[in-house]
Amino acid sequence: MLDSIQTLGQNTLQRLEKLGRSCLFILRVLTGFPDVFLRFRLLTAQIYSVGVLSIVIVSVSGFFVGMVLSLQGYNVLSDFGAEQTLGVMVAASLVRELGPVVTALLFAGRAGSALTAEIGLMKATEQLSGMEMMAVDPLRRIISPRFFAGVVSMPLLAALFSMVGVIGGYFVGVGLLGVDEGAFWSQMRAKIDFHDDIVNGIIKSFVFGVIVTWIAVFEGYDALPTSEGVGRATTRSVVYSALAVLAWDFVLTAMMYGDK
Amino acid sequence: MERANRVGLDGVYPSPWHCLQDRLGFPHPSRTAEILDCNTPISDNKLFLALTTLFPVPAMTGIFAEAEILVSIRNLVFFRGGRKIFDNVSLDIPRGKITAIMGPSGTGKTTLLKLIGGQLRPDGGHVSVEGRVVHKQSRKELYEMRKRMGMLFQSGALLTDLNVYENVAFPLREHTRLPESMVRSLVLMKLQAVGLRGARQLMPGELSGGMARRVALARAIVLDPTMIMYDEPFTGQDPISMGVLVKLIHNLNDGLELTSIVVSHDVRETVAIADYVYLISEGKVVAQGTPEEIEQTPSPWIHQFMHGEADGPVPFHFPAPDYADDLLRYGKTFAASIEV
Repeated sequence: MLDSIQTLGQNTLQRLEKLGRSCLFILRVLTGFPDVFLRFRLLTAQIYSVGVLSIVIVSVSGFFVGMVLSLQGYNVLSDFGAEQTLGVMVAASLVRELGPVVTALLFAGRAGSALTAEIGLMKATEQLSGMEMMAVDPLRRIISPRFFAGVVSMPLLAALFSMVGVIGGYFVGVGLLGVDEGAFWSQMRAKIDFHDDIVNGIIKSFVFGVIVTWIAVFEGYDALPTSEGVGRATTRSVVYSALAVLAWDFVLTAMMYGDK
Repeated sequence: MERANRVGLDGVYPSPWHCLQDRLGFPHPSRTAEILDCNTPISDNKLFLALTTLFPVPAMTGIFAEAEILVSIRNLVFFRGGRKIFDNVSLDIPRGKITAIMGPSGTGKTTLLKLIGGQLRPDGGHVSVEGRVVHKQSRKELYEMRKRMGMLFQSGALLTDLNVYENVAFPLREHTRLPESMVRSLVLMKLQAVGLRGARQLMPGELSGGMARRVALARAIVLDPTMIMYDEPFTGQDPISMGVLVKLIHNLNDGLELTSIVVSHDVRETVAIADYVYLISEGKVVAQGTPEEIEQTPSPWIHQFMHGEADGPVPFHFPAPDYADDLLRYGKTFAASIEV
């Protein structure tokens, strides 16, 4: 009994210590923000790596999610004779929720895990130590460009996801199920509010971008420098990111739409 | 009783004083042989440590003149995960020389380099480079200090996304604003010095282990440091690569008037180029001197280490229960279970 309490206390302290380390880590990364512009080429290279290379998976996923939404929405709305509002339902679901959340989950799986593994391997092969000994701060040279690339890429990818999702919804709703094209687009334009829906969606995806990339780069930097350590860090990165995204989605949704 | 005699801590025979005499290198061959019995389950190294704890031997510092010393380590204590890696270690690294730090695997040789480079903080004592205490420097000062230190990592630590040329140019691009033509000339000069000017377009993944270390060496000297630390430079090298690295370390040290610290357990190659040797084991300096002095040390442990002998005071077997008992234990347990 005492042992289990001791273990619980030890684990809690370790988690708190890690949380503290990650906060100090992100503070140092954020203070290096001006340096990112001095190393603009590194930033663009990372935006290509984490952002541009994620376009395919995000687009394909968005298209299918939009199609499924349209199909399911049509079945429900047609029971009430409200199938003309299908466009609103698809767009609102995508822009407010599914766009930022699913993109963040996909991003965590595709780019976040790659960032963790890459940084972890750099640590395991002493590249980060080597940089430190060459008087080059790895946080500014390696971590900052990756972090800011993730933060910049996520809202753009979420916007792409929503856009392609709407096209998928249109394809199924108008093309296959026969919803009126004019009603689909006009209802969407009338009911989707720029501030309440689009800006809030962008804010969400920005926050998720910070969270997912922070977790990914920190887990890589904090990984044990062994192949097993890097593997575990990569798994933790994806799991923690997914949980954090879903939890923060609730918090943000409650803040944005809770009083309406 | 027999075991206590072997360990030599019972005050009967051999006494701690005899062992201390051995530690200090006084001649008493017959007793040394008995103290450091090859079959003893506790290595004489541990015996030394026990004795030096009971009867502390003053660190042999002050061998070099103050102006001669580049790196000074005083009363260094360092723990990792509750294990004491260094226990009150003091040593000096002279300028312009090749100093070898040798010892068995896992004794903290690489850790010592990281302490000198300021990548780790000591738990006690201090490490000074050029008279400045490393762990008391601000980040900026530490980075300035590191620009004058080169380090060759065991793995080479080349940046895998850059080719050989860009790897060597990396410190120049980060710390200087030299025109590209000058960067090119400097990089090619350094690559020429390590014999790899022709390999400048290769990626690190296309290099052999020895070539990777030579590229890392070119990168370490590209900012013209005053000191280079080599972490196990010869490990895993074929004889030709090893010979090339030995020659390079020696030539670069002499040609560039560097101070070199070579951490290694490849005795023959290291001793061939070292001006001064420190032997470290279990957190302490167990011997120091010129290679000739180390060779003449009467300690059987040092003799075994320096000559790589399988038999000696360091036992072949990890401490374990009696072999026959261990083999028979299962049989006895099995027999007992049948009787029940």
